[in-house]
Amino acid sequence: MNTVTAKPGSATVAPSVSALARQARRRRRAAILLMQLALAIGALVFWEWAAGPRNTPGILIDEFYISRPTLVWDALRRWTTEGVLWISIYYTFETTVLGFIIGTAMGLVVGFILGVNPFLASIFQPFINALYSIPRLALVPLFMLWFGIGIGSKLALVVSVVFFLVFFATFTGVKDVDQELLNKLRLMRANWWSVHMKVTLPAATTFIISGLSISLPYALVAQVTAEMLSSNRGMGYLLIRSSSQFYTPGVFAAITVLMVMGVALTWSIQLLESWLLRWKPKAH
Amino acid sequence: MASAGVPQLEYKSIRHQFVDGERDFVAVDGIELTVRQGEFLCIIGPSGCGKSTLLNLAAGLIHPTEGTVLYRGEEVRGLNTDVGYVTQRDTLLPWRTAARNVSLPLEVQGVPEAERKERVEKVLELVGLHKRGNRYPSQLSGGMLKRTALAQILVYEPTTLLMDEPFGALDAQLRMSLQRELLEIWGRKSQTVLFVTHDLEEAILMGDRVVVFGANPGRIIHVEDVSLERPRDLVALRADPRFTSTWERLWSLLAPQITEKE
Ligand SMILES: Nc1ncnc2c1ncn2[C@@H]1O[C@H](COP(=O)(O)OP(=O)(O)OP(=O)(O)O)[C@@H](O)[C@H]1O
Ligand SMILES: [Mg+2]
Repeated sequence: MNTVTAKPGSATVAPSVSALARQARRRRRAAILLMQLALAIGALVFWEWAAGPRNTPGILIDEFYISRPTLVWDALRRWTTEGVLWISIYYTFETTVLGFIIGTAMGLVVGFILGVNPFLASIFQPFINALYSIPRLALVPLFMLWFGIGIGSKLALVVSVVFFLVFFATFTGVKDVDQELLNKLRLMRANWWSVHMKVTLPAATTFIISGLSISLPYALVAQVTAEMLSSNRGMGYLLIRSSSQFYTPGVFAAITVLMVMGVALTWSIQLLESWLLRWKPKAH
Repeated sequence: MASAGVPQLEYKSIRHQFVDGERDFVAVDGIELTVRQGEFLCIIGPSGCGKSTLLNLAAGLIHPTEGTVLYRGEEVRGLNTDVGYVTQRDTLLPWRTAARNVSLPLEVQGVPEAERKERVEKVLELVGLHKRGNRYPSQLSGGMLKRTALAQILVYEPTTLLMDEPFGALDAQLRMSLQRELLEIWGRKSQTVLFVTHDLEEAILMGDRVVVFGANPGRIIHVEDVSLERPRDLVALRADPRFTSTWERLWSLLAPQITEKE
């Protein structure tokens, strides 16, 4: 929104300068986009051309190992007509997002409480560090024991991944808050709640948002891993089922879908970030 | 309202030292000062002589190593929330626009939204920023930041104003118009003002009294009663012999302090 052109000064400088700069920037972006498109299409065409049935003349790589774009497309179509594709996407997406939200909420609350209470923080810190250093996948058997093989154990794994990352980000951000700002609010007779809502949390936002954007891809990884280990639903399940049937196009189809999901999630968090941090001066 | 006889602020044999690594560093020593209710008190002195320390003591942000600070007859123990403090360092919230920064004290004090908007607009107009209200601090110039910080305190009309070089980064013209506005507001609201400045002219033109600080350690070397009648014409007074003689006398006290350092 507020690009450099909106800055004071440049409006009074000849507008043609900034217009020219904007035009140059737009042209550069278009060129980059075009090259990227060409690269992607080129890779797909080469893949399609190079891969094929074993021992056929002119075929470089056995399609059993790497499949082919058209076969992947067919796999996706097949899953759509079978009615499993969208349900699986939805299941994986929903559980990931739900786990992400729960983990974020917990990380925010605990991070905030320990951030404003140095005493509590020094009590709990070693325990949190110890828990954090457990390889989370080692907990899957326990989670299955406690929460069953349904959505519960998947949520638990996602939460256990997201919680710590958001916790550390929030904790650091809250501790980092400028004491002078807090005192200023207190001098204005702000109560405890307003001081933290109007200063501490917004001040920690930069940290928190980086915690969110780091943990969201991990949330998807955790969810898919959990599905692969024990499930009869979701993209992870489609992936593992295809591979156990030596159905390579299915494996690639599942990976492609997961890639798109990952990109979509990252985009959404970037959108949130640019909205929350819209006050930051843009570096160009 | 406390009875008219109680001074607004009293510094009683104040000594304040900061722990500076191993050694203690005495910032101010032997401060005896009484600020009357409704007084406009200016504080001037060389850099590092403890002017900001004096204001921090009044706000209860720090507490003296020795001696007591009384506010309306009562010792300042916690924060003194009766004061509005325009600090030397800029402390605007970067994620709030200028207007929302100014409305901050009203928000935390539960002033209804409609009234808030009206008061914020008025004060922004007063400091000449009504057209820049929707800019973020990162989009404001140094002088605009100063004025926003000033507006943020003026808007909620605290009984006592602590101002640490509020007009520091402003050009002469803007500075004079803000000086005028401040005197006007002060005349209307009968607030008590502690005003720190580096500008001797400003101190004499604005103040009922001028406190001159000396350094090493920070101490009061002189308190001048300024007997110029109010309302004051800030332009005409500069040529007034009473002003110039006061200026010369205070300058002769101040100059050795400033050059002595280093
Ligand atoms: N937190 C602190 N720790 C250690 N020393 C400090 C601290 N705050 C201030 N001082 C010292 O106390 C002395 C007085 O500081 P103060 O900020 O009151 O000066 P000042 O008169 O406001 O100076 P200026 O005009 O430059 O703003 C200075 O020498 C400063 O270095
Ligand atoms: Mg100072």
